[in-house]
Amino acid sequence: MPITRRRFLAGAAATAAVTTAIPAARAQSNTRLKFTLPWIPHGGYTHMFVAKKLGYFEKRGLDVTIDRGFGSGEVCKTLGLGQYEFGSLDLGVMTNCAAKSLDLVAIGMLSPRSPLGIFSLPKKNIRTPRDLEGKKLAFATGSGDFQLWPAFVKATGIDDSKVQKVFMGPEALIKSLIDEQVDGEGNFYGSIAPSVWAQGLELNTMLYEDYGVKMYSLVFAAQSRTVKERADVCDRFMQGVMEGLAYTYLNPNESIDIHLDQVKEFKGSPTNRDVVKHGQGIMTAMGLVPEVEKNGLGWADPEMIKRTRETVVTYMGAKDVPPADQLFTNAFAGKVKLTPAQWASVRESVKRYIPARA
Amino acid sequence: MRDSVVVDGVGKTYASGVEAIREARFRVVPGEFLSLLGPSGCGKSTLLMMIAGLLAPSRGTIRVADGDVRGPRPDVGVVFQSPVLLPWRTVLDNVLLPIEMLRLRRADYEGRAHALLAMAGVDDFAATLPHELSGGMKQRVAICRALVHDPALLLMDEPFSALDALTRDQMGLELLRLWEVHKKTVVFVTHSIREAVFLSDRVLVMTPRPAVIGLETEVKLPRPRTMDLQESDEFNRYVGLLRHAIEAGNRP
Amino acid sequence: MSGRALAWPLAVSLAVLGVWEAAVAVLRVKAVLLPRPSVIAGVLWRQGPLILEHMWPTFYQIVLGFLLALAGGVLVAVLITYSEIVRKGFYPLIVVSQIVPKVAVAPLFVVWFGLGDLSRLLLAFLIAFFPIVINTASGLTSVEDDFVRMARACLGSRWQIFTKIRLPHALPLIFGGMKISITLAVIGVVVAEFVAAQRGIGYLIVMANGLLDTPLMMAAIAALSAMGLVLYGAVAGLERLVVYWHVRTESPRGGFA
Repeated sequence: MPITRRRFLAGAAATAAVTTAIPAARAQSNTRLKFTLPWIPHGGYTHMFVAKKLGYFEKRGLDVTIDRGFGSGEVCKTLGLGQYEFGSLDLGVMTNCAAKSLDLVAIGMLSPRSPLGIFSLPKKNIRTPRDLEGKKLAFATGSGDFQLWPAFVKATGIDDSKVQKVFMGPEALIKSLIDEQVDGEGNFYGSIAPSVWAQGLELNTMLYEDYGVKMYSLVFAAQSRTVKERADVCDRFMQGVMEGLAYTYLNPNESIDIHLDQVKEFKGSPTNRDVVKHGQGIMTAMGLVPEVEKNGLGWADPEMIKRTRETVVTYMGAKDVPPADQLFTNAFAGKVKLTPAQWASVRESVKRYIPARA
Repeated sequence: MRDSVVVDGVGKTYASGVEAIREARFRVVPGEFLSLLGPSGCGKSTLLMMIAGLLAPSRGTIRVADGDVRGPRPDVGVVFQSPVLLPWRTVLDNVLLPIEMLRLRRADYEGRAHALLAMAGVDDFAATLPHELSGGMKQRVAICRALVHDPALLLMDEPFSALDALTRDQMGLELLRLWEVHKKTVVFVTHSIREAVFLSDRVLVMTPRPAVIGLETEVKLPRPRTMDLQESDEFNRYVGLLRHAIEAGNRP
Repeated sequence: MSGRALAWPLAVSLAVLGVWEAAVAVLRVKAVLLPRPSVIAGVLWRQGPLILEHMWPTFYQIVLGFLLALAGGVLVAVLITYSEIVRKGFYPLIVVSQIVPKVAVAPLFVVWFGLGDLSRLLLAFLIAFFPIVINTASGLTSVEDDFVRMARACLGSRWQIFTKIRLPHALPLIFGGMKISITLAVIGVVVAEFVAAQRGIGYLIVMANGLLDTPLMMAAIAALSAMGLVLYGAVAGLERLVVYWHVRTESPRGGFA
């Protein structure tokens, strides 16, 4: 199977290059697709709802359903088993699942900066990794931050036995931090910060990548079989997504309105708007890396893919992980670009969200 | 005239090895009121259940109306020690249970059911549920149920022993009234000597386990029987006779 | 329930709500931790349509799952009662099926049966099934020998004894099982929605929780509780209708029992 994967991806690249040269022809009837988010539809995924609402999928002949997910681990399964055509999830978790022969490949980058980290309320005075020793941390076992905790421990040299860990379902994490039942917790920056900030609280962030655990995080993915047999659909889908992403980058406020309109469950409370706003800002900020600014939205650096893969092999104990070039393809990426001026204005608008060392 | 019941060489040994009845042998004449008398545990109820077809004998034969008893029969009615009325059915529906089981037309028997209840003095309660009735009233309903399908033979297993003494006497009188009107053959099981003498034409005494039929005596007291009869010397002579027989554990 | 009987529980509930409202205000508890009842009421009012929209799929699955459990449960109970072979073979399996925590099984069901209603329906069925089986079997077998003997004396066939004696006798116990079952079905469906749904009250609760919108979360829980009460009340009401002969021994009557 590994060998044929390589051939799919090469073929996909060729197909995509050809099809995008021709303006997208409207299909006789729209192709119906199902897409799964990694978790609930928070602000980091506004671009999906923008793309749907503003017709970026429809004009390409696609009818996309956006479902919530139950963690990257679950997305591996539902996507890998064909219950969804496309999904978004953490690349590290995806790589681990690919090793278990789930047929997944990344088809576009969303969050080149990894949002995995340890978060805490300032009053707990956790500013450096060493401060974690003697503290109580909460984790959700299926979450990428817990699966890569060993990598963080190795990179920082802290004494893991001195860190007390408690485990809970992902839905309980944020509340337990605010209630101060734990001193800190592992989470994704874009999931936890907006909710905590919307409550008027500050947050200390300790991102893994700032301590040497550099890897890509959230990506768009599909079965490699889909990429091979339906490359055209993949391309149309990803262009719709990227167009939505560009819109969100450049029109944050309008995007929030669209998001709340599409996700009625969030419409009620005024704080929700702030939560969506922060989540969106964080995801945008985590996308600001030089290789994307240069090569276009969704583009992945093969070196970083390799590094992500190595981290997974080393710290998640995964065997039979496919080689890096079979885990991703840039065939559908880099076609939506922003001008340097636009990038500058985006950077300015999300200045406060760009994570810095605590 | 053929016999109502013929019990021939009947014995019963339980699976546990206990021999309840060694040998029973007797006949019942049609229209007769026969009592099986004996102390508790002597197997008289067991014998009655075998005649009813609810229990199989270990040996011997039982015939009712010239036919072998192979199971419950429509020409037999049974009254048990406790009324066992179905709590979810009205009094009337309880009485009509045998009709339903025999798949006869209910309409044909409703009149008869009401008449029986009226004779038992409980027709006013035809539409009530059993839990509203006293013990005596429930047992009256049970007797009506045993008679609704007009069986020729009525088997009664200590039907009044769970009632208080006053009710008991009254029920005895009413039973005799019903019996006189409908001319049934009755086999009546009791451990009360006075009751046996008062009600019956003939009394069979059963010995304790392993039981056999001991003394058999006819009761030649005038009918209809009245309560004052129980004061008479004649009555008490029979009672004394039977008591001695029981105390002696009489064997032929 | 009569008006007078309703007054006291209503008064107690209102008093509890009053204390809650005052305590939160006085102690300045953050809305994200515990909102005031008046705030929750406001959310119920403003977002009523949204809550109702999510209540319907949950309600539908609870009721359907419960009915399937009732039909299946009674059937299995009858088989167990009348066939020694079936009982010996299947009883251990049935017990094991109850011990497995449904929350753990829910994601597996999604993998096997997909993301649609089927997984949740099956979970509701599994969870609601056992009390019905146990109670029905118990009701069918616990008929006193006297009743069966009487029915035989009244010339009943085995089938007649089953329909006219055992089944009515089992009804009070079956309803007892049903009351437990409907409660479990509510819990089962909602918990399944926590881990495997795209709509429903459980889904709404999780979504609200995810954004720390505690007022919406508690409004959803309140709506869910109301639904649970209604469903339980429906079963209890049906019980009063069907099992009319089960008299409370404390109620004094004119005559004697």
